Amino acid sequence: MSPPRIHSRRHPTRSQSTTFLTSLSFVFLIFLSIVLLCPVAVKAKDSSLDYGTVIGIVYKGGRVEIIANDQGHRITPSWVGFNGNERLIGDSAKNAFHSNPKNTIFDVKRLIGRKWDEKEVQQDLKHLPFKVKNKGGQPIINVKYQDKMRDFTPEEISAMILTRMKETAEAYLGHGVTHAVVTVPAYFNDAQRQATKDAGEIAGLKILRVLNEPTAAALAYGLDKKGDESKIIVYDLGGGTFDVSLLSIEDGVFEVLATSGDTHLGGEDFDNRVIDYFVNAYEKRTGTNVTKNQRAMGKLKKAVEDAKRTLSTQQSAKIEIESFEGGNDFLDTLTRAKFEELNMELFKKTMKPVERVLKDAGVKKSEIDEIVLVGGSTRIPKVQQLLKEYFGKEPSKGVNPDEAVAYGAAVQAGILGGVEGPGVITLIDINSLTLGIETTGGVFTPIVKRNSVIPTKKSQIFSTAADNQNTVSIKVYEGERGQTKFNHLLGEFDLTGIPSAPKGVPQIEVTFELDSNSILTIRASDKGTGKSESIVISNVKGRLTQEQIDRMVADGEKFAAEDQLHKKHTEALNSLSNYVYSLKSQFAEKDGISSKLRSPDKKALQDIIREGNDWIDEYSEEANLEELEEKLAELQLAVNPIIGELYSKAGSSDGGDDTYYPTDHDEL
Amino acid sequence: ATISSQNEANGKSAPKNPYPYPRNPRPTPYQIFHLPVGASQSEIKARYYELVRAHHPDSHHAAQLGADLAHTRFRSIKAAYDFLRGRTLSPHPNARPTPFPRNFDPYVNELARRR
Repeated sequence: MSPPRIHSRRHPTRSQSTTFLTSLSFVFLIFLSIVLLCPVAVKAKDSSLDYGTVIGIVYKGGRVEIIANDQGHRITPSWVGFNGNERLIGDSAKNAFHSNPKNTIFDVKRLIGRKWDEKEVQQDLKHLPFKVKNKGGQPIINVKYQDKMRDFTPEEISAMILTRMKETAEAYLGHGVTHAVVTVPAYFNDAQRQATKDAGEIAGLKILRVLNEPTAAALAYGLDKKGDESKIIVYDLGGGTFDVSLLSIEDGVFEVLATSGDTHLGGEDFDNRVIDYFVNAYEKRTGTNVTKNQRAMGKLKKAVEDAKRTLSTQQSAKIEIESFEGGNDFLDTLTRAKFEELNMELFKKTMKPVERVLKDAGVKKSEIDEIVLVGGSTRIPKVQQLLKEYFGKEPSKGVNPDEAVAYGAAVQAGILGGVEGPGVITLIDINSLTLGIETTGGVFTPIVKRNSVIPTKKSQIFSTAADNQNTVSIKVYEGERGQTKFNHLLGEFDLTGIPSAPKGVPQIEVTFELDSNSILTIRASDKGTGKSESIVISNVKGRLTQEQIDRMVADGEKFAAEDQLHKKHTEALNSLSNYVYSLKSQFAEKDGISSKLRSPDKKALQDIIREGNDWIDEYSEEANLEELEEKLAELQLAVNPIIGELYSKAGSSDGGDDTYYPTDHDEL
Repeated sequence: ATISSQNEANGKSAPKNPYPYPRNPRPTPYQIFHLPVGASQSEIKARYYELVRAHHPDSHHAAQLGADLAHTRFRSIKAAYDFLRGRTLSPHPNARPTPFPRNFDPYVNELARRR
């Protein structure tokens, strides 16, 4: 096979249309919009907590509603824990983290759609407490579940969270949910978007759209704005990623003019700076370096995160950690001034993308009507102050920074569902990264420039670089640099069977088609022979195959069934324990059962209670559901005649019948 | 905004599109925009938004057309818009950008030249 040598020719030809989106027409549809606020990698070396959150939202009867999860929270952390036989999702997994750090999965958004050897993945691996291994170039999460080591792809873990959100929404609505809109950081690349879409499929959802988070936030902000044109900047600083978008809103048309960002900037980086500072201070004070102590670092991380939140409203925050390390407590104070000093460099870094979107869109900063703040980290007063100084106006606090993105996604779901009427909203979104191919000498030749309106399709004619070259290999990159080595390789494929010809003669047309999700399809064809080769770019490496997805769907259902079984097991154990304990307490009461029983019965009952108690202590952990139910039935069978006799003897006694019965026992 | 969640696709026909896509195979940008040659930039922009509302692939109207046709039309509208705004050298979707700085406006440029 020949080396990848093709060069750029000047004249573009007419595009030919292809299609890869099916038309959407629905009679009855309920939408669930799920947000993945996705933190990506951090630079510091410590392990990190995740702010990654999921919000379940339904678009129902023309209104957007945020659904509280089973804990009553409107935001669910993207955590999954495997605790013995139990699978925990959301708040419960996060709460159980300290007891089970090796089998608690978080930050999976940093791994989704990435390859094992990517720099960011390698950095993240150093501080993730759970085990990640390399399987065919993909990062695979390895946890202990049901006494077996199991592998899960990041897509599967995400799917578990999505499934839980789907169930929450279904419980709320009372019927099935089939379609969803998922949001991702605007700077997510093609593979990450595709993987997110696959996660939705594993969860049994049809992903209608992979929507950019700042765009979604703008929808939430501008929903009620009518009339003249206004230009807004969405400044989205979350846990791990930073996005900026500039939009023009006019009479229900939302036009994204430019977008920029940094996938390595967010609240986690701020935390890490503070943690480094405290670790150093602690080492100076006591001579102990705690970076190796995972538990201590975990506690410090949590405390620093809390202190950071406090500093959004107060000037200083106390950090107190009991039994921090080696029996010592940790006591210190973080002032807002110190926090800002430590992170000033990072705060200033966020202004670069702001300048870039203004430049890209050709808009002066004085023309910006509103600065919309999105993401938890925009609560930091210094960030707001920097923006105020730059634009000369107060940033808008009109939207809830945590929920705006989810709200906007629900609005988009409404649009896609065919909502019609005078208040209809139209969204013109753009792609965030320049896409192109490598030509002779490692030169990056852009085909679709960043900030192009999507969906789009562009083609360009290339030719061979050598005489009688029969194969061209097409390497697809994304990025903004002139040389491919500085850009990110998305994939590559070969177009073979080009008839022998002098160099520069064959005409190879390369067509890039970006759909409304910013997902890329590429086609290369030899104009001479009509031979063509086409790929959805993420198919090349690492993309899940349909069989894999099907298997994961089946696994997901199996796990859900196991969760159900585990729940039943817990319930059976509870009713057995309740039965025995309530018998015991009634037996122990002064004027309870024991006073009314004849002594042989009394003895028998006492034995039954003791035996039941012992059995629970000894076997309940290992017992399966049937054994638990059997035991309960067995105990009831033994107890009923004794209690029954009590009744036949006493008739209606003064205490009322119920007091003699275990309370959870309705079969009697 | 008052948004109805009902899908109105069944039965009733959609509201009439005031600016239907031209039927001839190679419409000019002005035909696509239903504007006379020499229309002002603000007219072009306003019309673009109206066209987008009707022809964006996400729109109700476009959903009835089928994705393929809807995408092709949307791209042509966008290409025509870029040309009319002076951003590209031809109204073709693969057109090359104007070799001038961003937001180059041929009308403003022409006016400036004549002054």
